[in-house]
Amino acid sequence: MSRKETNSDTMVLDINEEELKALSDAPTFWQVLKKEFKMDKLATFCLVLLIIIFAVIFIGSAVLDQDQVMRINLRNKYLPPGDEFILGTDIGGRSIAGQLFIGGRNSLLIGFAVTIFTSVIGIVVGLIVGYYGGKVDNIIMRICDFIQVLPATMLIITFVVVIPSYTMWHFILIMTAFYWVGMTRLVRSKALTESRRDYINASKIMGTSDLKIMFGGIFPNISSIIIVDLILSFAGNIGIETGLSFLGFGLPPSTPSLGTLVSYARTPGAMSDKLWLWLPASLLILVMMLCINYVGQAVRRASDAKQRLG
Amino acid sequence: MWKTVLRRFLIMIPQLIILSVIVFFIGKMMPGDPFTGLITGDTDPAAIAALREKAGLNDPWPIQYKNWISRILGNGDFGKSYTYKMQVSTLIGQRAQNTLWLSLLTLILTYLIAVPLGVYAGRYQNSKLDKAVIVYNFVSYAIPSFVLALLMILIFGYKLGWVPTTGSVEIGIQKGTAAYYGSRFHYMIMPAVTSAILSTTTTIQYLRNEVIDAKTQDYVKTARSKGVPTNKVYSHHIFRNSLLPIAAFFGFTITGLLSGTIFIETIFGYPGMGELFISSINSRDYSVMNALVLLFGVLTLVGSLLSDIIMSIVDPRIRIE
Repeated sequence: MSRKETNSDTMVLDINEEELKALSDAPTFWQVLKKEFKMDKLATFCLVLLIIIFAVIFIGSAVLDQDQVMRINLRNKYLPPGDEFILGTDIGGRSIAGQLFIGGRNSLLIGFAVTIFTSVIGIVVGLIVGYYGGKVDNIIMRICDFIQVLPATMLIITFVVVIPSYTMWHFILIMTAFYWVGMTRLVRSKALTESRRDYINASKIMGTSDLKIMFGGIFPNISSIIIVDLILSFAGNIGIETGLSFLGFGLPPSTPSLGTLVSYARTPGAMSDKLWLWLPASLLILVMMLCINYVGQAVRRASDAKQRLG
Repeated sequence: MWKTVLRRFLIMIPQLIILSVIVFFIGKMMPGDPFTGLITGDTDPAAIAALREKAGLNDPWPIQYKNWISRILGNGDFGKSYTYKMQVSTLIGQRAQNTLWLSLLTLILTYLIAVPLGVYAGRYQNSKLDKAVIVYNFVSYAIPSFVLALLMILIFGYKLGWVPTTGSVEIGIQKGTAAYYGSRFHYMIMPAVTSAILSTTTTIQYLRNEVIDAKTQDYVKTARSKGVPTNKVYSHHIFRNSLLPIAAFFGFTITGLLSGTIFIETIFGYPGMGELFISSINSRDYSVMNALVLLFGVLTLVGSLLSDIIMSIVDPRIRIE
């Protein structure tokens, strides 16, 4: 995208005079983003830390054999952190560190999948209703209003219990059903204001198809806001998934999640003298949440000229 | 004004109906029916079938729905709890009291923390306090509720030993005495502080932004040039205008608190409605679970109704005519 933009810029600039070059050369979103991260060292640190965490989790879980990690070995029950098990073991003698890798990967993947699904629905529906407006817009927005006032956590838990032969995919679909509303509203409101602009009118007069205007005209112009929302809802979705898994209503028992690891905190004695059971997973979730949100805020500042540091 | 309220009520009616239909169908999807528990080795299947027929379980679903909803609306009859062996409405009534007190304390704490922090951070923008508030706000926004709750229990309950870690009142204290209420408060303070910390974020954020925006506006300049003392400009002029978004969020704050109770009450072992919901699911007590989903749904709808009504009271511009 950025290459295409710079190309068209230079084409225009060839016609203009040389000194106008510096003035009219608007930086692309990626350039602004780079500058913002350069100014905000903490954001850069968070980004690097996140990349390291993700890499370690994915490489680690790919190297580890899930069946071996999850095999119960009662002789090793509740071993404190030591030489053989860096972070100790749980009630079944399973290594906490190994579960951290696998649970972390599952939580990240779920968070990622839900974010992608909700965003695709949100972007497509939001663009269409925002661009066309009218009756469809009215109906979809009433539906959004309604879903937003539903007690989502409770209903998700209920569905999780009610659905027979429940799998990870069911969970992703249930979450998507409740959380597509946020992105839809955001995209719709932005598309609504954008579609009243002159360049869209000009495009319409030139006979560009509606589909091309929506995805080729409006979408690139609101994409920076969408990216911000993507990052923040990624963090949010990980939080929701681990929270539900913590209560025991997230991922099915065969698929460990970071939330499942944190829920070991509710076993007797875990709070007073078996901290290794749940504290590493809690801290991992906390660090990831803080970093993702901080990076998200830096990107948000970059997308809004009024808030930029650089 | 009344037109707005009335219109808002009319919007709520279809929402309530759809919600009740959803809850009804969830109830239908749940395995078993009220007579499953009666079946033993030597029960006559025909007798069960007769009971089912008599209870109307073989009727087409619109009729079943009509009976179900009229029982609820008529005499608050949600059926019987299998685990507690009592009427669901009585059971929820007992728990609702606990949740109500906890939510009230949380609300008070939320505004006690959020309003001064938001106003001062906005007033002394870029000061040390402002920066501290921004950090606090960021962390309380990003931290998942269950992680915060567990860390609070670990630090204040186990390491420092200041507060009890589970329950709602000390066992063996006479009900109605001062010691009883003291103990209730002692047990409530930790869950309340935890959920207050989690719900201050939006209020602080909006209050801070509003105050910063207001500083440069004409009415503030007028007040200042009239010679109104700075403190009074903040406490009277700016504060009042900045309360607008806070008022608007009031209903949603309540809604957020309600859904937060599921986590907070479960983790702190506080016997309220949220804890009841989780325990009823774990024991597959479907009638309780169903009633709670319906109740929370209605409360959430009322919360958003409240938000809109408050908004139309404090800001006449948005009234629908």
